[in-house]
Amino acid sequence: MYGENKTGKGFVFSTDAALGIIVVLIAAASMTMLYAPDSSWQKIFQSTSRSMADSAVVGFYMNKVPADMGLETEIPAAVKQGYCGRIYDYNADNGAPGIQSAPMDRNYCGGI
Amino acid sequence: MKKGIFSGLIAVTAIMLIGVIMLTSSANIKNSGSENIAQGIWEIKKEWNNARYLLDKATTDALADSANTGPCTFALDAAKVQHYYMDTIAHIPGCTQAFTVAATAQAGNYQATGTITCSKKISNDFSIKKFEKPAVFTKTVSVQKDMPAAGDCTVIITDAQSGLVEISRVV
Repeated sequence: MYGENKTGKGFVFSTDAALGIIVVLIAAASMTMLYAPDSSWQKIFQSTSRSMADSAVVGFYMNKVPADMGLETEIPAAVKQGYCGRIYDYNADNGAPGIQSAPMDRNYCGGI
Repeated sequence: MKKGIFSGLIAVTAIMLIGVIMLTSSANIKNSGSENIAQGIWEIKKEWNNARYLLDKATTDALADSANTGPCTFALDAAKVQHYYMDTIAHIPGCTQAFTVAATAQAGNYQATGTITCSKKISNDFSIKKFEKPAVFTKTVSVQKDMPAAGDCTVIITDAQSGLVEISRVV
C-alpha cells in the first residue's frame, strides 16, 4: 500500500482506513443515486409544461386560438411528452332563448 | 504522532461527508416537493378562475332566459339561475359554488354574490389543497319593445362591472 514503510505499518493511513474510504465512497455514491431529485428530462418537461400552461391561460382569456399561442388543439404526435391545458368556454349568447348554453372545452396542447 | 490519528481523521471526514450528502439529498427532495405543490396550487387557481368565468357567463345566460317574451317584461327567476349554476359548475370537477342572486337598489340591476371553492389533490404530497374566494357578478337587465303594439322584444344584458353588453337579443 502506498505510504507503507518496510514493516507494513501505515504512516499516512492504514489499509483498513483505505478500505473504509472505499466503502464510504460506494455508500455515498449509492445514496446520491437513491435520493437524487427528478432527472433532467423531467425538470425540462416540468418547466416547459408550466410555460405551456401559462400560454394556454393567457391565450384563452385573450380569446386566442391555440395556434396563436404556438400550441395545438391536440398533443402533437411527434413529441416525447405532451401537455394539454383544458379551459372551458361559455357562449351565453347562443341565440337560443330559454335554452342554457353548454360550456365547451378548449384545449391548448403542446409537447417536447 | 499517536497511532491511529490519521484513521480517526479519515473516519471523521467520512462521517461529515455522509452528513453533507444526506443534507443535500434531503434539500433536493424538499425542493422537488415544493415545485409540485406550487404547480398544484397554480392549477387550483386556474380552475377557480375558469369556474368564475363560467358562472359569470351563466348568470348572463340565465337572466336573458328569464325574460318574459309575451308581454316583454323581466322577472328574476332565481331558481333558473341556480339551475344554470349547478349545470355549469359540474363541468369543473373539484369546484363547488354557493351563490344567491337578488335585485339591487338600482333599478334593472341584479347581483349574484357567493363563494367558489376549488380543491385538488396534489401529487407527491398526498394532501388536498383548497382555494376558496368570494365572487360577485352584477348585471343590468333591460327589456324593450321596439313597437308598442306588436313589435319585437329585445333583451339586453350588460355586465355592470365592465360595462360590456353581453347579450342583445330579439326574443
